[in-house]
Amino acid sequence: MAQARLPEEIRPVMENGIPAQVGTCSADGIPNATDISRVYHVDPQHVALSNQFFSKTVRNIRENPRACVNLNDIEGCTNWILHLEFDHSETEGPTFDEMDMQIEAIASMTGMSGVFKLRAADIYRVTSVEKIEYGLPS
Amino acid sequence: MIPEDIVRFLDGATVGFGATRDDKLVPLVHFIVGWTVGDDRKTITCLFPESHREELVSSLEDNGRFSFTVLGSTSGPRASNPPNPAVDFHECYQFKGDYVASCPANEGDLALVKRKREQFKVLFQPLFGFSERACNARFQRPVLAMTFRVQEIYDQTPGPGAGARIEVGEL
Repeated sequence: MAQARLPEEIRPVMENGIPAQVGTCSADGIPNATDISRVYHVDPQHVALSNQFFSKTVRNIRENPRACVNLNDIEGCTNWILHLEFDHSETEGPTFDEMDMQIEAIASMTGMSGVFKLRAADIYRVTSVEKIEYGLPS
Repeated sequence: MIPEDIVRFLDGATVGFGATRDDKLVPLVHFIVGWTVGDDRKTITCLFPESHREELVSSLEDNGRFSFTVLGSTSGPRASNPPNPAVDFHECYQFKGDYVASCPANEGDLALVKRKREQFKVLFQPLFGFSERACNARFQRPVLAMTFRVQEIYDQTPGPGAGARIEVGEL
C-alpha cells in the first residue's frame, strides 16, 4: 500500500486560505474537478477534506477511493499535487470540530454563512506528494 | 450548444482547472491558464502551461475523458447589490466532455492568457493581496491548446443547487 509523508513546508500552503482543487473519478471513468476552500492537515500521512455539498466528489470517492488535490502557493510560484486514497469519514471529534469552526470562519468572510456547512470530515491517506515550481515568467 | 449566458461568463471567468484520469482510474488535476469557446458553442479549447501538461495528453489519448471547472465573478441576477467581490467570486460551472484534438499553443493563445491574467488580478488581488510578480508568474506561457467537445454542464456555484445538471438540449 503506497504511503507518503507530507513535508513540513507544505503546512503553510495548506493554511494560506487559497482554495484548492480536487479531482476524482467515478467507477465508470468520468473525472470530476471541483474547488474546495481548504485541505486540512491531520498528521504527516493523512489529510482531511470537507464534505459540504460537493456530492459528486463524495459519490465518486465511495465508488473509487482515489483523489488528486492541487494546492496553490501563489506567492511561492509553486503547486503541490497530492495523490490521496480515502480512508474514513468522521462526523465528530477534534478534526471535525476544527474543520467546522474554520469553515464557518471562511463562510463568514465570504458571505456564505448558512451555505457552507460541514457534513463530515473525510480523512484520506497520502499516497504521493509532488512539488511543482513554475518560477517566474520568461 | 453552450448557453449564451454561460459563454459570457466563461469570457470573464478567471480561474480554470481540469481533471483527467489514467487507465487505472487515478484522477489528475491540471491548472489551466486560458480557455475559449468554439464558434459552434459545442467545444472549448483549454490552454495548458508546461508545468501542468504532464500526463495530460497520454490520459486523453487513452480514454478521452476530460472535466473542466471554471469559476469567476458573478454577473447578472445572481450578483450582489451593491457589488461585493468577496461574495461574488463563487460562481462556478463544470463542463464534462470528450477530447477532440491538441496542438502547440500560438501567439494568439498567449494574448488570451495575458487577458485572463489581468482579469485574475482585478478579482483576486483585492481579496488575497497577491503580488504583481506572483500573478504574472501564475499565468505562465501556454504550450498546449487542447479542444474538447462539451457533453454536459453542471452548476457548481456553492449552495443548495450545487451539482445540478444544466439542461441545454443537444450539445
